[in-house]
Amino acid sequence: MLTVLGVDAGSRTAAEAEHLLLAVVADLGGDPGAVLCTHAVRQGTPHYAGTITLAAPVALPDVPDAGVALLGADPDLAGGEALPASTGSVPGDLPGDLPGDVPGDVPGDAPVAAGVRTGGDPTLVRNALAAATDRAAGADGRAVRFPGMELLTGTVPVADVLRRTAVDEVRVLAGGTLPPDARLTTRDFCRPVYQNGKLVLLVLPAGPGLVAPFEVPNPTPCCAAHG
Amino acid sequence: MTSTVGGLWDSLLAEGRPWWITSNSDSHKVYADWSKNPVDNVTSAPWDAAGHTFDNFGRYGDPVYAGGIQTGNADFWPGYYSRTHVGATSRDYRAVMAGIRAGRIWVAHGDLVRGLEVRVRATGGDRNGATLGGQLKVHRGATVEVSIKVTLAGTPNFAQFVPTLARVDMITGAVTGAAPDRDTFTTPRTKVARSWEVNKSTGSVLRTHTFPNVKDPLYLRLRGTDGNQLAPGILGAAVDPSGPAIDVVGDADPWADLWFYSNPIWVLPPAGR
Repeated sequence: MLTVLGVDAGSRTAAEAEHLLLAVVADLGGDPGAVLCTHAVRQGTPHYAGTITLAAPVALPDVPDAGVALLGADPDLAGGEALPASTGSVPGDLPGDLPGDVPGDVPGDAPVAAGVRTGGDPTLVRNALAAATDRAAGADGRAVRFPGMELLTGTVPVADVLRRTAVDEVRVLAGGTLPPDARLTTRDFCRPVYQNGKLVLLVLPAGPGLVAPFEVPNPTPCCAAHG
Repeated sequence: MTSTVGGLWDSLLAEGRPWWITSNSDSHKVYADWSKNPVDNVTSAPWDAAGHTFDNFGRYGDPVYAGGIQTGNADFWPGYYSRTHVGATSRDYRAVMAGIRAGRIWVAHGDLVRGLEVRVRATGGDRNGATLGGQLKVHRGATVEVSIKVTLAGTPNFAQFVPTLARVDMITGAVTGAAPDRDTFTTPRTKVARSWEVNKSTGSVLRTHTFPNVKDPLYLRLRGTDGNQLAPGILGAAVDPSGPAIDVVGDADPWADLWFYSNPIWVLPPAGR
């Protein structure tokens, strides 16, 4: 059984959310198998929340200036406020359509245990819970740390990416097809995304037999840095 | 958005929304310029003795000498690569703005073509018809003719070569009214309806197309290509057999992948009974 922790501290950028997740997972004991994802929040001021998926149960952590939500909370570990399995009573202004009991299976992983606990800023809690629910359903999440990620350096065969990492699919954007025996130029930076229960790495053509991740490590901020 | 046939833009046009395309140079730091921002784009840095900054004054000071040619910059001057062509009725700013508002606009990369004139007329109707951005109201069952005149490039562009137009495509779509889902990203009845190979490199190209017996509202738009970077469109070859190919990372020469795009013209018979 897994637990999924959602965290929303109002991070303005995906990179800021990544740093927050790394700090939180270190505080939780630094589980090397943890899967870290960022999630775009489109309600209100657009920003980024994050999720941490763990194999061992944890108490709901206290993250400063953040809302946190734990799916698969262990009833013996305290922290925050428990949501009844039947939902209904929710803290703050949370919506009524909360996960009832077991939110689902994390794709490619074990099911998430029953139990939901939330804490922190009541507005941000809502986003943290939505991110955790999306992650548990395999519907959303841009993976920052995932099993096998350490193998994705330099140029590697796509077949190895699929066989040796958590990535389920390498998909060429705009309906393109992978060349036979395609190799991935990783730029040492891969951020696959969960879509419909699969972890998908979006790539672009990068020369004969080569593809490269669509997301670049150092994007030019729009009109901010070249003004 | 513009390059996808049957994508978001076409779905807006199929709703009948006059959404115009333009082409932006996004010119900030120009390749081979000799000047630079006086405070290197630091918004809080004062650029004069009075302490004006971008943050407190809303703009930067005038450019200053950069100390040498700036080959680390990546932008082009406005119009040197992408250019927005507006049909203005006189040589003044108001006329240009009126042309933009009316959608009398086509855009091109690398001066692919020098001129584009498009006119849609109904047989027996107004000889002026409608041009880019316009609507032609016709009788139900009218015969509608599209006249296209492309003036080919005759002088070198900023990359010092005369571009060659290889092909012109006409894209048509049915006007189907408001989309029930406002997040719709595609429209099913838009496709490349006709293509013309150009096969010449000087002078101008005249092409016509006839829509017989127009009973339902439609729109058309044009695009052209140098023919260098082609691939089936994202919505399939039946919609767009030979559209713009996606860029190759690390190997995308902007001058070897030139296109022009026009805004649409609507042809509108009265609603059927």
